[in-house]
Amino acid sequence: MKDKLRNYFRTKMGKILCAFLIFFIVATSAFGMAVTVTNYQMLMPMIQKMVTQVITQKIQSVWNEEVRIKLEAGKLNTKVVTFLNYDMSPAIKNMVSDYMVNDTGAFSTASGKLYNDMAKSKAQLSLPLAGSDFLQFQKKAREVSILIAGAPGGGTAKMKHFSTADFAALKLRDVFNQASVAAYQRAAHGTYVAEKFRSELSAFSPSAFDSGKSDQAVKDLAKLTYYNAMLQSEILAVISQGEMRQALEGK
Amino acid sequence: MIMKLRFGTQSKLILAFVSMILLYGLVRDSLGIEPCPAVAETTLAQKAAQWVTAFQKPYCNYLESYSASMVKQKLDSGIFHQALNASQIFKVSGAIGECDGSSALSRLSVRIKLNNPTVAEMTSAKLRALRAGTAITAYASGKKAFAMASQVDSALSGFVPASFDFTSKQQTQKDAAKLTHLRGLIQSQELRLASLTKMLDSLDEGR
Repeated sequence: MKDKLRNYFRTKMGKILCAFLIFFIVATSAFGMAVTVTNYQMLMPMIQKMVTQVITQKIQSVWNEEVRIKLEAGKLNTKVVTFLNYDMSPAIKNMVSDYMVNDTGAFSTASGKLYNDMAKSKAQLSLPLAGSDFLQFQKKAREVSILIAGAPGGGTAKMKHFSTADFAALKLRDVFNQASVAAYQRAAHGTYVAEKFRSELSAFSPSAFDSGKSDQAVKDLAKLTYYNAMLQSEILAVISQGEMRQALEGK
Repeated sequence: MIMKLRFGTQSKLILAFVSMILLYGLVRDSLGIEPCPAVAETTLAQKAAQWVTAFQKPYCNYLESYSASMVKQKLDSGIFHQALNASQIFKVSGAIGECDGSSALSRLSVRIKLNNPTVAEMTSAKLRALRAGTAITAYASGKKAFAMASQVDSALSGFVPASFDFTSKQQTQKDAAKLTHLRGLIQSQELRLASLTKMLDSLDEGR
């Protein structure tokens, strides 16, 4: 058997086969060595680039998700909070600076028709209701304000024999009446705003904060703080207007 | 002899061929030329993919778990559960005390009966009625607000503010929002009462 194999390798075919075998062994080893050693310098930057790319993409996707969460709107829907839309300031200004100067007061020579009609009216008396329509509310507050303002004095013709003290008292009474009207209207506005705030904000359940994300809660916290600031500013306006009136009252 | 000669020639040829191949590889290597581009690129890509997977997996897993834990923290509920009951106290239909004042005023206005009254007398009577109606509204509102304040007080009495020291920032943020909401509702009643008091004052004849 051994001789048979030895004889086979001595043949032309056996030798060619041996040559090919040696060639493949050497070539394979050369290629293997070349890939492992020679391209190592090229392999590292390539891997570095690929790893960096993958990690960057991952960081970007995580960050995008984080940004998306941060941009989610709060749970408190500001569209249903309307108490800030009701403003009586222009009406109060008109009442005090226009009506109180031209249509009533000691120095006014107006007929006082509006006041007379209001006083004699047989219509049922009613308070400005905070739960009613805003225009209706404003109308009712104005009616009461006209009664508070009183009748026009008829001008200076009646004040021929007035002393300086009389004039001072007259002017103070006029200013006091203006302050009374302003205080009444501002306070009426305060009741309306307070009622709107209560009805709108009490409809919102605070448990909604628990079901949302803390980022949303922070946004809602900012909104609520803003609303509270507006409410406090209204409290300040009502109290200060009332205190001004009380100071003029001289008690 | 012939066999020996033929075998020697063939061996030399094979040796020369092998040497040429090895020399060729050596020259390419020293010149920095890739030995076998087709094979090398495939192998490199495979190797790179393996390395990338090895690197990216733990890092991406860490990022994902970190992100998930962050979201979970954001979703944690607050500890101030009393806020719900306390805010429910302010849920009433219609403005507080308004019905009492309105009905009193309508009863009072029917009673205003003056014989040949002057405008000033009519005004005075109407203002008195309005004052009474406003006073009743203010009293009813005050009574109700006082009851609300007591209810809020008892709803919040079980809560210990030091509990916030043991909660996460996210939970505290949620509870801060609840407290601000409740504070707004309380302040709205404060405004309403202050306004009614000032309305009542304004109806005084004064000077």
